[in-house]
Amino acid sequence: MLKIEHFTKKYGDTKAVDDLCLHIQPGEIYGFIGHNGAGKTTTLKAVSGIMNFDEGEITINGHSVVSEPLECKKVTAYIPDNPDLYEFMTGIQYLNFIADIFGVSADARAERIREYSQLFDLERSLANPISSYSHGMKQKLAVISALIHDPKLILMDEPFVGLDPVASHNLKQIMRKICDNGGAIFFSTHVLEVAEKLCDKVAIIKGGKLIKSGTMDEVKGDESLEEVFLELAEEADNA
Amino acid sequence: MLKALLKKEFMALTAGITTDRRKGTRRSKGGIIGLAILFAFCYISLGTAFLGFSTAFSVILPDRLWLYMSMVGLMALAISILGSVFMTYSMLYKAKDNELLLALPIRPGTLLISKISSLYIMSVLFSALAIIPAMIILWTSGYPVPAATSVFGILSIFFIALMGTALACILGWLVALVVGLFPKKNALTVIATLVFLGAYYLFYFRVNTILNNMLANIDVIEGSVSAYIYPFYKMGVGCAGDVVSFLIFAVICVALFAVVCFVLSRTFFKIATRTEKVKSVEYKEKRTEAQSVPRALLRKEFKHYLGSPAYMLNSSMGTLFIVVAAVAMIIKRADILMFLEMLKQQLGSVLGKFPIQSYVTLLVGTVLCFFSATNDISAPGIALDAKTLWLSKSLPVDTMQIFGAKRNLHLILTLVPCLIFLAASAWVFKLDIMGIVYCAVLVILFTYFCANLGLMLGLRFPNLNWTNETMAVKQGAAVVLALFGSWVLILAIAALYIFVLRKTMAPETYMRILIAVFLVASLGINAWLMNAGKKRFAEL
Repeated sequence: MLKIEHFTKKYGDTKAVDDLCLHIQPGEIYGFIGHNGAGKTTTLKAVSGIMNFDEGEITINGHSVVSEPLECKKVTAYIPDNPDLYEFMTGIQYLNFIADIFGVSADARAERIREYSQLFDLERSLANPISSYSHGMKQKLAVISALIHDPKLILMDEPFVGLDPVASHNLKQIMRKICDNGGAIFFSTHVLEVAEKLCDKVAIIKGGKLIKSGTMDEVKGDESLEEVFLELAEEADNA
Repeated sequence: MLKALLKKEFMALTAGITTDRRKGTRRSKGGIIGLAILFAFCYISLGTAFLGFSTAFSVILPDRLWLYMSMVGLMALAISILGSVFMTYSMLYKAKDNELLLALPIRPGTLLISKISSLYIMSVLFSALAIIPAMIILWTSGYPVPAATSVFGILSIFFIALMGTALACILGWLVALVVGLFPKKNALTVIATLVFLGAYYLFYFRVNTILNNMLANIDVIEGSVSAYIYPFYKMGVGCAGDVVSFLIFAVICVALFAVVCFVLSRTFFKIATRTEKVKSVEYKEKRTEAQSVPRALLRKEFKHYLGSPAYMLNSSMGTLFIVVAAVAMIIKRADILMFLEMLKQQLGSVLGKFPIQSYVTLLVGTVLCFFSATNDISAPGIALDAKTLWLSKSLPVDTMQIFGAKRNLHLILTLVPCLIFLAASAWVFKLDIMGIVYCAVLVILFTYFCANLGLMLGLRFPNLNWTNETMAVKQGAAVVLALFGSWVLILAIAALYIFVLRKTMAPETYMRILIAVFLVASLGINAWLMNAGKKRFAEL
């Protein structure tokens, strides 16, 4: 589904991400963990096609994000860590706009908007302007808009920040359901307990370099993910 | 603490000149000097517009210097308020750093003063726009000007700015109170602004009549000035040489400013931290038909435009004025035709050998292009999307479709009124079919060129670090260059024909050349957008 090969991104002379390689298969929830500034957001932005990069190749379903960006974006959804949405629209106008862009039929969009807005308890607020929404409501709307075109790959940057416990629980269930139906999810998080319980695979990044990746068992063995993360981070510091 | 806040405000005011907002780095010295010169040029150009007002006022001069200075002072106050009142509410109460700063150990009053200081600097610039041209008229009129008049005249810039800032703050405070009560604040802002501008232009067009009436009743006017606008009576008398009167005027300005700062500081925290009332509407599901991508993008642009009074009022006032001009032309048809007949008789020998109707067609085409150039809707389009660029980039749409939606917004809002004006012109001046076609094609291509130019400048000089939308639509090189550049272009086109080509080139030929030039220029910018423009958008 998603192949990241030798991905390198520089900001001036500084390498934000250095020679990153990751493969994400259909059906996988892939967690991406690391310190602040480790390169998680940079990687997610590059995969979503909103940031140019210097070296390497990223493909989604065999299409390059550089040479065939539209093909990639059609099957992808991206939720940033701070969802700045169109505040001049109401929630329903925004969802219809996204559905129009992805060419979702009137019937399909109506059904999905109904299903997800009820699930995230946002249905009653859809007629209100987004400018009146709280951070959590905007996050919920961003999640619903990401699901509206039934994407094959979802990229999420800290998706649980701002969500209430019920919405977090529902999002986790949806993530599992999407992957059970053949989709894939690549998301960053600082909440290691969530990653440990939810992810099939995990990658740990530090200072722009991948320091460990694989299935949850391969990465953490008998220890907790938190213990492994701290040990690996310390090893990377000493290296 | 106040010093640190004032420094921050000053940095924010000058950031447009000193910082390359796209790269986030400080500009080179050459870049800063270049932009400062450009700003100075625009400022002086604006100032020359006020020479006309002062010239009109100067009919009072021979007998009453004090009344001239009073009138100029009043005009400076009006400009000072007009220039800053629309920004006061957003700069004082809606600044995005208010919450951050109020969470720090800073007294609300101190924070308010730092923000008012930014308004004061702008107010000084606006006040000078009226006073300096008036002083130039005074110094060049041959009228004996006392030294005190020169000194106090210049000093009054700073005192009037104090009064203007105080009154703008009071109006901003009233707006803040009304906005809290009124749910449709966008509509309120637009209506209030249009009423204000309507009154302003009414005064502008009637200033000569008003002055003649004043001269006829000068004794009554003098009495009224001293009775009802006492500070300006004192300013006028002071500038005419009475030191005590000028001191009284200065004390009134300072006192008013101090009182306003004190009163507003009492309510600043409450208003700045207030959450606005939003009338909650319960969603009722209804079927929505799917739309094409270009249509969805255009609708998004329209929603943004209609949801932002700052965008509407600063970028598309021409839309309203062109329609008003078309209606006015129909109403005043007889006067216009009489004026045209007079011109024909007086300029017949000056014009070339071509039929007079050809010159009329060219005049209509040029006026249409000038009207079109009063809108700069596409120029701030990229900047206004600063916070949602991630969204545009992450959607499966070609970048040219995004540009196309912004260009189409500009075209629709500009061309529809222009074509209405053309229809009115065709009726008033009895243009033939070819004349109408030439004018229509010219204004369509010119508007297309301006829309493309605005997009290109918006990408080349993006203003992405704004704290309120007004900054995105009013500030930045893209907006200034798009607006003034298109005006200069039209003036150059008119001047080239009037001074060089009028006797040798048929107006129709000139229009055909202009059409070809704008077609080629538009296609050239289109090619830039499709290549360099797309790359630049991806880098933003």
